[in-house]
Amino acid sequence: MKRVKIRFSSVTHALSAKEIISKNGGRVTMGKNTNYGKNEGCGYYLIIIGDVEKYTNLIKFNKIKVVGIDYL
Amino acid sequence: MIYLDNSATSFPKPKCVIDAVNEAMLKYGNYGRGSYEMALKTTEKIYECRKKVAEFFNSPSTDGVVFTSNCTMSINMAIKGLIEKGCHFIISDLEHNAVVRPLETLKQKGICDYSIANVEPCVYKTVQNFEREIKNNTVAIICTGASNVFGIIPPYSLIGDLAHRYRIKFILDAAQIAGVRKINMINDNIDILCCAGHKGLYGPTGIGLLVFNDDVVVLNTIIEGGTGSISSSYLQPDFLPDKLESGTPNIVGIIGLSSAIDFINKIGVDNIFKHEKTLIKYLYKNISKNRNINVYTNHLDVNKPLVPILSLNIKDYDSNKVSELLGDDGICVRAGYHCAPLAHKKFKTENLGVIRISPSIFTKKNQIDFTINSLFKIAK
Repeated sequence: MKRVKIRFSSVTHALSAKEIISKNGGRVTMGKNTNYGKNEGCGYYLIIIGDVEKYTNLIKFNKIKVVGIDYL
Repeated sequence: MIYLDNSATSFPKPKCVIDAVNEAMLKYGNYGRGSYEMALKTTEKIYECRKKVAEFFNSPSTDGVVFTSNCTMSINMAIKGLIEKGCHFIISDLEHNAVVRPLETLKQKGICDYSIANVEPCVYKTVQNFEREIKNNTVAIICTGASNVFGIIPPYSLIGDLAHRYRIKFILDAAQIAGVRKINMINDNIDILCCAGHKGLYGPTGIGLLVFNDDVVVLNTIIEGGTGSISSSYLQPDFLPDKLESGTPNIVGIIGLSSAIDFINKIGVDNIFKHEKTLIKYLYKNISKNRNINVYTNHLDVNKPLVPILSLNIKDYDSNKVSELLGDDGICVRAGYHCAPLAHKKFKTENLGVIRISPSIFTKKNQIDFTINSLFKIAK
């Protein structure tokens, strides 16, 4: 199973994305960002398991602001 | 006790709201900062409320729902977030001091100016009155959804449409209509909606809403601080809702409000309006016959859009004195100016103030009967 970690600045954006992914059958967990070195500061991430391209595109399609995407 | 001061703060609160507030105090902690289970659960609860609010007002943007402390705070954020040196606002002649005072303060500081447009019985004349005041430097029209003193509903959808034709923002003070009358931010041409959670929405005190019809940030901040996002930057985030939500929000209040919206949705805004309006019509029908009672709005006139608020005076008695006498009978109403000097000037009630009667979904007909008897007793 492919996994992707998507980072968000706002927890509201992370939860909007989480909701869309869950509604579309994705498995997703949320956590707090720790990418201090990347100068992003605090924020939240989602780890999505499954068809990561589909879910990443869904987030982009819904114009949810993303800080970064890491394919795991 | 007969509580008829719901325009100020609705009381009692629905049991589900009390339960939700209790549960929040017991189960939920901080929001949008921590990574432990309780913090994430709290964050999801807040998000849930944001979504409900967006759906309730038909705002397409969950991000565009900003939690504040009350309606006054929301209005201040909207006005002060839009100002630029030399700009101009238009307000109605029914506005609350929540609108008038920030603008007057800014005017006296020489920062901006404002004009007052009359709301008339004819909707088209009202719209024309607003249009006449539009200037090249007008940035927004601010209009109440309903007068907090006399219940008059200005034609706000048409005023919003007017604002958009001139590419200016339309801000609705929905303090007296949220939860009482259906509001559709898109159809009603509302850019920014301000309201309290503790009035017609049946939520706790200390929670207000500033709702946008999209997630494009149009306001500058009036306070800055921690948001739980991009914390390595000294600058405030430039996206909603974070930009306008500094500091820990009223989590207990938001969770209570979330439950309150469920309560309203279960009954239906139209049914709440119908219940309250039936009571006010019944009250009006009974007391308007009494020559010693002066009622200011005709609730039986179908051509006059009014929310279920009835204002009156008895003889030339000071309204606060009448309020005290009603209080002796256990009836809670609001007397005086209701923080709305413009509306009192319009109705020439500056000398006495008025008694305002505002029911809720919990008000019963026998309570109105008791109030009618008490008013008649004072009016003898």
